[in-house]
Amino acid sequence: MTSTRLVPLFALLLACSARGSGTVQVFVEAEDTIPDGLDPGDGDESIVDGWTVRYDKFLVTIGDFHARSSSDDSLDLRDEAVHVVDLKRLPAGGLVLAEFSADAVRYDRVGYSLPNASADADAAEGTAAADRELLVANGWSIYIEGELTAPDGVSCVPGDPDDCAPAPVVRFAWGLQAGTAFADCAGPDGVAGFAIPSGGTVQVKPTVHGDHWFFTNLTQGAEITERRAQWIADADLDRDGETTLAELRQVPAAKLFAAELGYNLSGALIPIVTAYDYLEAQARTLGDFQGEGECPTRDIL
Amino acid sequence: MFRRAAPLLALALLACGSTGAEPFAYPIAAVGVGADAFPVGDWQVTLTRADLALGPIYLCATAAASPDLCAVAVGEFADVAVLDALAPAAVELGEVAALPGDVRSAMLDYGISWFTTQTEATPDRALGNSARLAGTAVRGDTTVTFDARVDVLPPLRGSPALVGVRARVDEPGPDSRLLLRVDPRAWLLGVDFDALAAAGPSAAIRPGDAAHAAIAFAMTTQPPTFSWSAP
Repeated sequence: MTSTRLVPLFALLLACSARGSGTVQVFVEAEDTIPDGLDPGDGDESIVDGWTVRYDKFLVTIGDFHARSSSDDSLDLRDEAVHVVDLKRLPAGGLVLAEFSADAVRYDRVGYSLPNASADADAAEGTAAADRELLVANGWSIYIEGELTAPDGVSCVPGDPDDCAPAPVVRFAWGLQAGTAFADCAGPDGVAGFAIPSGGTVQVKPTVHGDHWFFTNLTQGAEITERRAQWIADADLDRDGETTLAELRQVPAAKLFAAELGYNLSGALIPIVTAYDYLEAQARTLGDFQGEGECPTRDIL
Repeated sequence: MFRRAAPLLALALLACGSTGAEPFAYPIAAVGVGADAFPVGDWQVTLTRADLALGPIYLCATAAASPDLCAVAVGEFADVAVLDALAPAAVELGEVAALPGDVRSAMLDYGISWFTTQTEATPDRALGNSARLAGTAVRGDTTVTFDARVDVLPPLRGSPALVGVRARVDEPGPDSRLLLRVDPRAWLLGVDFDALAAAGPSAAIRPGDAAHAAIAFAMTTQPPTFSWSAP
């Protein structure tokens, strides 16, 4: 008698707990602006002040992927490995950052880091050992090289648009310690995290963007902003065709990022006093999710 | 005062109505930094006056604060308070009208708001500007006195002047107290006192001036810091 009553109850318990399992593959993705650059124009992702931007090198330190379910604390996926990644040389099949076999539920609390590189960081597939050494030796979270070009480009004294000199090409090579943790990642549809299908595989893509230092604001949701690059040309104080970090540290940000140009830089993780601060503040926002999705909770590492 | 704030909280109240969430209030205070001299390049600057218009302030449940996302505001200080940002002791500003929930960011105006019902940004009458900063800058035997009337304008109609301001606390309650720390010294660090001195021994800084742009920029990028504690 007792056993016959227990059987349906046992089956019910099994049904409640049997949610199956699946796999999640975590890929590193580079926004198109990294391999393709940005072009001048009025398009959604164009530079509005006439500059063309191309990157020769775009290295980041990335890792510490984690995901958990807010409905069940025991469902906690984490891979603390950290990698230096050349985002211009991602493998054709994609770069797998982590892979988990786990319960098939929604993991709605997702995050990862772009930390300052330490000796623990390895060189990801496709990344040269010398590039890994460059970031580790300097403790950088990011290193970019590239150039702005515009046939009629000029470099103007910051704050004085009437004192300008021709500058058709302006180069930059910048490494920053801008280690930042990103959390509460959501896809472009705003849905938090990802769901693992029972018996299947889901691919998730922490996505590094390559255009935030051209934004006229600090985006924290949809990227509703303009993209401007003139500030880099104007910060080339000695007008030698290369804007250095030392020059950026000399230029008061208020002279480059004027409200009249549409800039509103509230909401930065750090105080913005110089042009370098602006660059660092924007570098601390590069971590996105599933392409154009956002990871709005950011903390300095 | 409640022209925009009221709809925000009303939306949240409606949203929470079915959950039984009860609104509550807790005090908000602000503290300044004192009147000690501080360096700006080669200059020693002393503020003799630092009046700041602060508010309205909205506390958002999302880290990605924006006028749209903060429709789920979990707290608001709907008034504009004028405070002495040199006062080293905390001054009570009023109360935050709150709903249960975590705070993850804030939006605020410096006394000049541009509500959706208005055709242009409008200053609160109490101060008439966002800030009034006056003092002296001394380098060797050169002294410049300055008097800045600063306006920090919302960039768009319906948007506060500052969004995404760092403010984070889990579940503040009726026993909580919000303290804002204001440092007007930081707002003068970008002022070119050499240029002011070249123009004369006294400077009236007004909108359109380079010094005004520097101060307004700093007020935007270096807002008050938010912290919560039990009273």
